[in-house]
Amino acid sequence: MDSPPGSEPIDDDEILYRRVPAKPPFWDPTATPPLSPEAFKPRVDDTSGLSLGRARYVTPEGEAGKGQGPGYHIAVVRAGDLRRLGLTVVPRPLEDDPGHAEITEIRYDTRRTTEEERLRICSELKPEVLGPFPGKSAGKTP
Amino acid sequence: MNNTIEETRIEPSLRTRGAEAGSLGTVLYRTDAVRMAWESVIDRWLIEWGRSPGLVSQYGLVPATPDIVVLAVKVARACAEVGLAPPQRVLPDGEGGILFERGEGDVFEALSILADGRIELKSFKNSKLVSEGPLSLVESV
Repeated sequence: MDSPPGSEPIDDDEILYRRVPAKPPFWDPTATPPLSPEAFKPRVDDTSGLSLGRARYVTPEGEAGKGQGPGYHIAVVRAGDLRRLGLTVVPRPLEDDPGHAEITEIRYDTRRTTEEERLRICSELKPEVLGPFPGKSAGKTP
Repeated sequence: MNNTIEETRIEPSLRTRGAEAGSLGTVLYRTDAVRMAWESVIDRWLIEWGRSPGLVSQYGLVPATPDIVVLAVKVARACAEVGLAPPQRVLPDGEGGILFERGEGDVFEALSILADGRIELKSFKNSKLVSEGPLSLVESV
């Protein structure tokens, strides 16, 4: 029986995307670091890990389009770089999102104890940031 | 909203260890440029979020209440009065609070106005937390 799409292991060289709200300024190239650690802060529904998108399954535009807000930047990270920081990156395919993956240590219940890890991602890995690209509510008045 | 800066001051109950000059947690100097930078924070972000919390909630983030926005404005003005370095970035923390962030070299600091009204300052050096503690906003009667 074939494994469901998205369940194959994530290689170290695999590229992953993190969706980051375009406003407020989570990303500011004039700030230090340019990408805020808040961009990797888990939200209330990140119960098993911080959500990422696998580039082999989704484009940056497609990853942004999954977000409920009007626009998103996409932070680009490499799985092996996250693992070098001691983080665990696993596939977690969803029915409507086979490219869904997670950083298992960064969860809503650990949001206050993983600040250093989130800062290391932004300060040491210095993710490339793409976009902004439209989200689901692009063009709508908040 | 209190426009009399002299009536509020911020007193750090914790002196950050290892904080570099010019960081959030150390006194810079009281200049018009510093005050203007903090006023820019207020005008550009805090007032806008206070008027339109939907700008934050549209991303699924919990916006700050008007009371927290007012508190953040007071904190910003008190920081300007003391001469603390202005933040490079102002963000919602996604849980009803507001965050002022500043980094320089290998030092990163985050001043949080939390949803419950507490004010905290955290300092990191080489991504390691080196100090954290509450700040007190003292208002004259």
